[in-house]
Amino acid sequence: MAAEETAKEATEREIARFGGQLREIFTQIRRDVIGQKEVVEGTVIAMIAGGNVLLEGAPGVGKTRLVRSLGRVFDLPFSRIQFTPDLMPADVTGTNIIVTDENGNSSFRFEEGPIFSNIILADEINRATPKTQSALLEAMQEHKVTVMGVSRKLAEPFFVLATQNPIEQDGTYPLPEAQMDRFMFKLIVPSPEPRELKDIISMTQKTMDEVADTVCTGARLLEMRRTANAILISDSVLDYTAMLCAATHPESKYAAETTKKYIRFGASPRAGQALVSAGKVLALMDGRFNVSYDDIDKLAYPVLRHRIKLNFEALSEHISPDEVISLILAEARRRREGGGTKPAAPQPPEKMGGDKGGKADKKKRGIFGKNK
Amino acid sequence: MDDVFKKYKKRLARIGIGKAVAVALIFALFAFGIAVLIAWLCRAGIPVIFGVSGAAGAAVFAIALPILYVKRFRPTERTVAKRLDALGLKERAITMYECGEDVSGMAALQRQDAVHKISSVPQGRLKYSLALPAVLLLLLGAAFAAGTATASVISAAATQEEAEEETEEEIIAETTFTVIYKVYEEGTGTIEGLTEQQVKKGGFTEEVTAVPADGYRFSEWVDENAVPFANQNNPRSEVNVRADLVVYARFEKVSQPPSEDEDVDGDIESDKGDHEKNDPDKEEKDPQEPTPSEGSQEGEGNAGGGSDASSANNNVIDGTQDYKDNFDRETLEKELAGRDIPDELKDILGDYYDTLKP
Repeated sequence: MAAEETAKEATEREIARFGGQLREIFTQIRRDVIGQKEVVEGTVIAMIAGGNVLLEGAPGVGKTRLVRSLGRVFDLPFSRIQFTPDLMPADVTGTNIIVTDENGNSSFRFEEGPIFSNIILADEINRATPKTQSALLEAMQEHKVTVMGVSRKLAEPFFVLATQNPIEQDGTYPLPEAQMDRFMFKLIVPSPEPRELKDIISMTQKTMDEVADTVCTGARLLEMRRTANAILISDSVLDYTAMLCAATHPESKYAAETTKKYIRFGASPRAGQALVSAGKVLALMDGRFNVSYDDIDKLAYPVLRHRIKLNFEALSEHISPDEVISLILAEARRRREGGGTKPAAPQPPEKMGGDKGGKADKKKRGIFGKNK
Repeated sequence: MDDVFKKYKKRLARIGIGKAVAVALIFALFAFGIAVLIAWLCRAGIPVIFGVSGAAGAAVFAIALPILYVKRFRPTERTVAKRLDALGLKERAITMYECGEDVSGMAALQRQDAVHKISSVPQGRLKYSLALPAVLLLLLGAAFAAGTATASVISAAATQEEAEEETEEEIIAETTFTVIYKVYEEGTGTIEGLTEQQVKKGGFTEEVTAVPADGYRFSEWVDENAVPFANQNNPRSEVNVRADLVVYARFEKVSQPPSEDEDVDGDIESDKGDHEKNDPDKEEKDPQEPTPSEGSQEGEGNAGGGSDASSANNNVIDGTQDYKDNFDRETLEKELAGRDIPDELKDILGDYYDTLKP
């Protein structure tokens, strides 16, 4: 009992620090990024949970600035890789170069590429060739790089924050499913509201540089991750998470009607892992010590929207992934409450870092592009 | 943890009993309806239908209620936790229940948080509710039970009425009646065949024949009040017998054939007038139709004197009856019924009698 009390007090302290740290992080990021609350929140959640983030938005909406600001706040080395069609894998990972020592002997030395950093900004990732894109695969999943048969571990924490432009699709290479699956979240960065735009203009008149202070470190971030990982999740919520992922597979017996109609390929098991890991952080941010169904529902959009492959029918009807997810969630919720499997009208719940979804919001989706 | 869930569990137990009663009632109503149908098909009476069906419904209810409660509606801590979470506790209760054995600091904090949140939930928020399909099934069951009960009552009543009618018919059909054939006046003839027959209702008797004695001939079939029957066939058989019956065979004396002189003369009118002149007392003495006893006296009288022969000439057909004051076609037809007389002759005689009408 005494041990439990001690553990409880220690955890209480950790959580208090977690909360304080989180508040400071958001405060500092808000100094550089005006608005984009859900995108900032989603990015921070993914960083704490140890996931990579794909930011999709039109040029100039603050994607790169957000990533740079995060680098400052967490005091982590930051590399920016501008992806272009002629970028080679070695430009990302690094390569062996021949060096000559004092005695005139030549040898190979590995020259680290920009990926050897803690935060990687892969800007316009869809402009590079698939070969170069795939150079990130190992780094993103296993946090290591293999060059010339030698594997090198990357520094922790390691994040890839990639951006892509949904418009100007000429000369781009859509990310393959395997690459997409390695992003914990795909966040849609919306255009700022007029009031936010006014603040952005005012702020950048003073300076274009990021002004956020460092309030966290890489080590502290890893501590925060451990704290979040200790958050409890009940079997019921785990069951629901697994069922939700299975419901995106048209061939699954749990497949929702919407899935059978609109989805060609469903989400991978990484989606379930991402939902739970991010759900724990979200619960902690909400002041809870357990993951709830609502956490999973809220995270379903950024976790699933890039993992489900829509079929031709959905594309021809201009159905966005978010709309499909709304329908799947409605069915999953009904099943959870024991109310059958009849599909409901799409009523997207509060969601994170996405477009507003629904047919009523066609105009806005037109600006940010269809989430393919 | 028991203490935390106690008050909610009690309330959910009451709700569970209510639901079990409702669902058991659905089963019972359907069982009642089906039992009513079966009993009705077996042509049971109304008391049996309701007795058996009521017992079946009650038995199903009594069996289903505890099973449903124990297997389906009795609240467990898990169901209590889930119901509480559904009130907006964001899975705090179910996590507390499932991670009850966890001794980590996070689990302890989670329990503390959950208990705090749960205690703020008034138990009245756990509402009594019955799923719409259950309500619909309950209504359907009630309608089914009421419908089958009403239909069977109506049908059973009708069947009972029919059965009663049939029984009555059967009783009547089994009733037998006695038909007795007698001679109206002893010594005037006999009856051949079964003179006393037992006949079922609507049945018919075996034929009997009225055989006159010497000097007599068959006259008619009459009832006890001497009213002739419509059917004067001889031999005779009664058809569609619906009551006890006594049938009398009436015979009449055969008159002596007229003398040759009289036959040559043939003037009946003048004969009659002569007769009236010659024997005026006779008219006073014998104005009526003779009774069976009188007939025999008359027969003797006729055999004894010439005035009797004159009287015989005044009688129509056989001379035994005097129709001069009481004649008409109807009487004639009655008289001629059953006799083997050609229709043409009947018509001639009828016309003749019409001329005698005053």
